[in-house]
Amino acid sequence: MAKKINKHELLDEIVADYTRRTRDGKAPEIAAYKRKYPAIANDIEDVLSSVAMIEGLKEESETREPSGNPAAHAELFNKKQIGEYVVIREVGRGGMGVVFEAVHQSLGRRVALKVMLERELESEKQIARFRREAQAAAKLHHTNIVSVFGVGEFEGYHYYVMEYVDGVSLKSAVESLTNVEVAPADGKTEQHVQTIRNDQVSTVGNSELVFADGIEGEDSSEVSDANEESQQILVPKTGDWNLFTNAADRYRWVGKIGAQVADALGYSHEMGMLHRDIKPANLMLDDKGQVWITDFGLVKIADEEQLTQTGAVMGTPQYLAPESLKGNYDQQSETYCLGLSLYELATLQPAFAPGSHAEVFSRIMHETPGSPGKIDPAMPKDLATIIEKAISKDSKDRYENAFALRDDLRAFVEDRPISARRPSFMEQASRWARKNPLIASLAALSSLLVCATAVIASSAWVMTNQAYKDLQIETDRAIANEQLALMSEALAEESERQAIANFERSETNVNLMVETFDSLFVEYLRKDSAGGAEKFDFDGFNELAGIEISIDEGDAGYLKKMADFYERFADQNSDNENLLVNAAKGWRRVANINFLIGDDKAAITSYEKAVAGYMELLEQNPDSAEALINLVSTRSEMSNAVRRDSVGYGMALMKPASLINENLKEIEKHTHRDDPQVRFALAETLMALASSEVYKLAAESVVDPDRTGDNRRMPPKRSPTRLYDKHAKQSVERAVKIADELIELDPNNIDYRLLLGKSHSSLGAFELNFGEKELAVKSLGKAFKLFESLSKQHPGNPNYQYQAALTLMLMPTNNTDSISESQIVEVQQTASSLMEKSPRAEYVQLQIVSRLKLADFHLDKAKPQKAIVELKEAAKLYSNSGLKGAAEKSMVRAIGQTVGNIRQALPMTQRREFMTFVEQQLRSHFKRHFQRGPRRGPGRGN
Amino acid sequence: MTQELPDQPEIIEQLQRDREEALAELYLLVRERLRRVIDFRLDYRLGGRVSHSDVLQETYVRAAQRIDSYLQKPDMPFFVWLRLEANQRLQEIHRFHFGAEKRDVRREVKLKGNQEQGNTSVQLAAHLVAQMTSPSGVFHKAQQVEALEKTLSEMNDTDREVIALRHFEELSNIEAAKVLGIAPEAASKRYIRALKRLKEIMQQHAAF
Repeated sequence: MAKKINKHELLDEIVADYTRRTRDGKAPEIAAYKRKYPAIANDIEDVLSSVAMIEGLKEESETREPSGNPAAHAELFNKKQIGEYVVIREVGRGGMGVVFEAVHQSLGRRVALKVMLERELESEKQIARFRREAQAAAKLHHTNIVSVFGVGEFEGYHYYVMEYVDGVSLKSAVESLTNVEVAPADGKTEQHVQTIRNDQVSTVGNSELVFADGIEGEDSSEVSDANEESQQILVPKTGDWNLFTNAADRYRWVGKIGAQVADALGYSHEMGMLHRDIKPANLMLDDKGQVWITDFGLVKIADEEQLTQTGAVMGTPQYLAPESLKGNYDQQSETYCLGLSLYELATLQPAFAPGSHAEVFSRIMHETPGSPGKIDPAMPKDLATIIEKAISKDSKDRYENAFALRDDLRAFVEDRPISARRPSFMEQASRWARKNPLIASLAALSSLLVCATAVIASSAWVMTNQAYKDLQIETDRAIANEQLALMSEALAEESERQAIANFERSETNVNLMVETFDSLFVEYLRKDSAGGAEKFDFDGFNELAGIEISIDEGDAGYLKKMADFYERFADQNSDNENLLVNAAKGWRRVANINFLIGDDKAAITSYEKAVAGYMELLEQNPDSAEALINLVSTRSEMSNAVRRDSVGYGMALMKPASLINENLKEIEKHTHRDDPQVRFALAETLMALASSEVYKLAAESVVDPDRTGDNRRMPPKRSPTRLYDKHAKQSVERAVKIADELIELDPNNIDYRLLLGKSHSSLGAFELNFGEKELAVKSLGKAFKLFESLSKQHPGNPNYQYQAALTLMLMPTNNTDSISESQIVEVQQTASSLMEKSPRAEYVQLQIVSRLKLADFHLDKAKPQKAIVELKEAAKLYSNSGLKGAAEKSMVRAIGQTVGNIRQALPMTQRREFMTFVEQQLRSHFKRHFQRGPRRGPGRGN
Repeated sequence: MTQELPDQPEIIEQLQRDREEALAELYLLVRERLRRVIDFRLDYRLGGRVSHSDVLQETYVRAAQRIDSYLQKPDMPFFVWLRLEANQRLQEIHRFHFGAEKRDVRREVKLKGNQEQGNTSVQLAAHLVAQMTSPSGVFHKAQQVEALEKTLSEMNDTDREVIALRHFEELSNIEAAKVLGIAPEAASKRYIRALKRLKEIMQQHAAF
């Protein structure tokens, strides 16, 4: 201890030390301190005696066992009679009291007596409350509620008389079901042991009869010991119980149990009575399979007493509704609690894991329990949906009351349709949006579409319908996610009304929502585009580039439905100037979706409307670069749809090119054509123009225009092709120049660097087709380096890695310097590792293409047999790929091309054999596609 | 014994890093101490109506909502801040239950602008009574408690408050100083003075 401190501080330190020791139970001596500091002995005496007094009083009041002191009530446990009741046996005991099984002396009625330990009820007020609650509970008469007969007092002990029910709590049931193999009746399994007595009263209840918490194994074993003559069996003989071997029956059983409890709860709520502690431990299952709610009118008061008295930890708050943490508790909260119990019964795990209070509170407030259907995939969807709805965080999403829950549970049990709809789309969407906008699932995307739809719906109404202007719209400005969550999937009929109720009518809000939605949508498309495997980025505008992925039918249908909504609302807004931007965007998205799901004609129709909208906007704001870019990019997307849709020949193919040309004109006359943003758009438009020229020419000179897309692999040209005109090549050269300029302005701009890479690889492809092999290798080499450096800088983004690999695939194989076998093998590995990370159509295509590339390589080295090996690998990959639509066609063409190349490379004597092999091995994979046979195309002419 | 709370800078760093997760963890460490505060400050007349655990829960929720503003200006120790949140919650509860009555019956103890709950002397005694094991226990101690109550009622607010903080809320001197809005040395001085004064009064009553 430092010597230079003043007396007060020294004394304070002494006191602190003394206090600490006292609290640790060490009983320090005041005299010892006085001896140590004789100079201030008197002061020490004074202050420490005060402390001793205070702490002493405190100590006495704190040294009691939180769970009560059973020894103090030994006399109670030996009672043969309590009031008018003859005690049969003690069923169990816990922190709050003791439960006896007893028989009414004169009436002979068997009851459960819950005797409160004396200290539990001290004040008159508490006693009055105890009586009042019991009296209220006594008015409840329901087949699924344990009846309360009344309360009494005996030798200072207050007790509570209830109907006696044989059975186990659902808490025990869950435990039993969790350990399907029933263990011997000792130790841990004690709690769900039923004891059968030999006397008149055949089955006596389980020790959990009335206790919420607090009866642990130890007490139970005492109970068992007390009934030595009893014989133990492991599971109650209930009809339902025996059905648990069959999973489907178990779910029905959960439904039945739930419906019974919900009915009882609904009834008590109608009677104006809340239970306040619905949880599995308070739900009893009797030997007839009937379920009972126990402890009505008891738990609340008991809990409070316990808490007040001991300050001890109450039972884990796992079964609290989120709103009850804020002090609100009502019938709906209780229905929620029943939902949690059913969750546990159905999934055999608690919705919220137990833990410290703070942990559990935090979980209740912030976490959504795992979807029951995911935890247990065998669970019927309807049951999972019912439970999910019942335990929604927001009470607005839950069942309105217990009866509504009951009705749905009954419907489930009887195989009728339920009223609840899956809310998970919205939940997924909001969660997804919050946590990781980049990892989107199509389902989440779709639900976002619903939200955007709703936003537009609301704005449409608000803006167009003056009658609603004065409508009292909820003023709570919920955060965006909550708004998302508010919207249900079932928008179709009610959306307008709901939208009005749930959204602010401010335009800013509407626009904000659409923007949010849109950025997520674009993010999603970007991720999936990965630069496009179908072709290199001829369209330039990332958003839809190369998404020729296969979408499963369910998703496609859902997307289509969303597009319909979008369409409807975009339509409603098209007259409203203020919302024209949203309407145009809406049409664009409808078109995007239709393009995604392969309905090109519908896409074109919507694109036309979107383009018209954007044109109008540009007219209104001729100086706006944004308006220009919107128009240009939408029209560019449209040219894609037109191109894909043009299976015909001739004039139809002029259309994409003319659309791009219009874009070009629009850009060149714009006031801000020197703006980097606009320059960027110009470069991409130039590249798109080049591509469309190629398509046009290809269509004119080659019979099958479809095959022109296959320009990713450029095998050696024996003679320069006439397909590519100078004009197209010049466009690409201009694009490269612009990209160079832009990078000079902003060397770190990723978009610019990507543009430069793409334009270089595009240029390389053109040069190759002009026979300028060395230039081509140089251009492709530049592109490769760019993508490679991007990939190194952003190892987390597979897109750049993918682009680099794709560029390598464009390298000619007959130039030994341009690409080596090992490089191709490396691309194969890249493709495989990309596939492992996220299986995507483009990556499969890259895998296939790299095999074919290797086959080409072997052909150039005059090793056709090795090429055949690679061909087989490619065919195998293809047949396992499940590719659909454009991607599938493209791969069929590529494989067919290689088949043709190999055939040509083989000596005449081996051709027949090879073609027989192809016929036998590959034809089945290709079906009708292959019947067309290999054809000459611009990219793969030989 | 529970784990020790980390140093204040460490606490702030953790909170800034993980916000809610860190808060939940730290809250666990101070929960028992906070319970003591609530135990002590919650009006004894609310014994049957408001549970301490509820207040603990609500304090947590409240703290989680205000963590950002605390972190913007963490000018008091973490525990003292939580104690303040708990007290504010208690104030709301008391206002709800007693309304205007509070002004008359339950004087606020004011120390340099700090508002604490209720009348500390009443609270001290009630606290002790409430914690008695059994009615008989209460009788045994009744006289002593009564004496203590009387003693405390004769002390001035500051002395009473400092004893309450140090012994019933079990705050450290530094924490108590922060709560009272005075320097630690001054708090220490007052505390020692209050203990001496308590002893004097106790001797007068001669009931101990």
